[in-house]
Amino acid sequence: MLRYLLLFGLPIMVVDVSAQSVLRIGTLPQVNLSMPLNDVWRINARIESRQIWVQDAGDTKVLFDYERTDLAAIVTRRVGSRSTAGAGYLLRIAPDGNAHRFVQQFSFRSGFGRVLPLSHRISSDQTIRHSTSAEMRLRYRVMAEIPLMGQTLDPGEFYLKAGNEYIGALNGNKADLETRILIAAGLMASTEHLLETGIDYRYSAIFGGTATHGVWFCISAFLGL
Amino acid sequence: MIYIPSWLHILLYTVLCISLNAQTKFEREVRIRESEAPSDAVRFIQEGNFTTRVKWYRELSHDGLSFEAKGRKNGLLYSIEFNSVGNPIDIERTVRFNDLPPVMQTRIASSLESVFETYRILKTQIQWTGSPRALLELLQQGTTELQWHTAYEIVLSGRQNRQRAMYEVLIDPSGEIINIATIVLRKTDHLDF
Repeated sequence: MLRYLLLFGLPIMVVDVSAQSVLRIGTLPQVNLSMPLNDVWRINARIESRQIWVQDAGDTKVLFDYERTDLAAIVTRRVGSRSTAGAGYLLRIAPDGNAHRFVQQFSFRSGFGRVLPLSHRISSDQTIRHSTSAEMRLRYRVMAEIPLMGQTLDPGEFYLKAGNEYIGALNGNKADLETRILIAAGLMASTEHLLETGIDYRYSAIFGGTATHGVWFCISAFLGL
Repeated sequence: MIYIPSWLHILLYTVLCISLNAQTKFEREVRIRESEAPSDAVRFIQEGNFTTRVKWYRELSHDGLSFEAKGRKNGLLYSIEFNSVGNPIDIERTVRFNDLPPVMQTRIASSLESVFETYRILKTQIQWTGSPRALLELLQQGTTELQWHTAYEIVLSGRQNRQRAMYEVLIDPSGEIINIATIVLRKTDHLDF
């Protein structure tokens, strides 16, 4: 029962009735490349871009704006039969200045043999920008894959993916909590290649401040080398 | 749940087999409607008195075509495998390891300790093989006077040579290990990153 609550019941949706909220709608295309280095080590590289199609901040409205491109690489090591640990680096290229992010993560799977096995990821990152103080974040994400054509996902079959993530951030003396919900549909083209499309909803400023609602249409390709 | 017709399933399988290395083991299953399962298999299941709706699957592998029915009875999950014409091959019943008779728990633990440095049991199944009549009586009553065989299928996370992996271990009632197979988990980058 707890696993279903974690996945579907805990997203914190604060109804923001103030005029100080921002709505952003856009696209989030991503290509993720993965390659084994040996039996236990693996490297994962990602390029992700974000485009804002609509931004409504009260009186200010924006139609189409390129926001940023992220280039990331993470090296992971299998530390258990169903768990990995890793670290990596992300370079954010944005018109208003680049950022450097250092990432550490631990992921594991639970519920083997159950109806809905879950994948968990606990990660931390530190982001450095030239003009602002460093931001530190702690994240927890739970993700589920639901095969649509059998008990397990096989090549040539479709699936649904659902995820929920909580991100606690500390920037100077300002703290914030962001929650994300992802719903996507995917196709396992082969054991090495998956394609997905879906919606990633993000809500931030749960503890106060200007609330931001983000609705991102995701198009993702996961390719094995 | 998305259903695909059997001809498309077989066509996809054939294309994939041709495109793969000849030494690659291939196995895939798809959910099917009861009407697509062999009538003998459906009749077998109907006589099994399941308490929940039974789900049917068609499986293609290097061993050929088979069908599988999964359902709950008396709170336990049963999985019955049938050959291509609908004759039952085996019945597997998922149980909790601690619900096995203590003497069987001891025998299994002793065998596993002789092979693995450490281990954690994730899933326990009792496997029955025998004649169709014997399997039906086992399914209906849990016992039969006809000849049948029992084995225990244990899925565990175990450590050998300081390396941890997942294994499927088949053990006979005397505790002797019949087979150990390493479970290769599919890559899940789309869930981990």
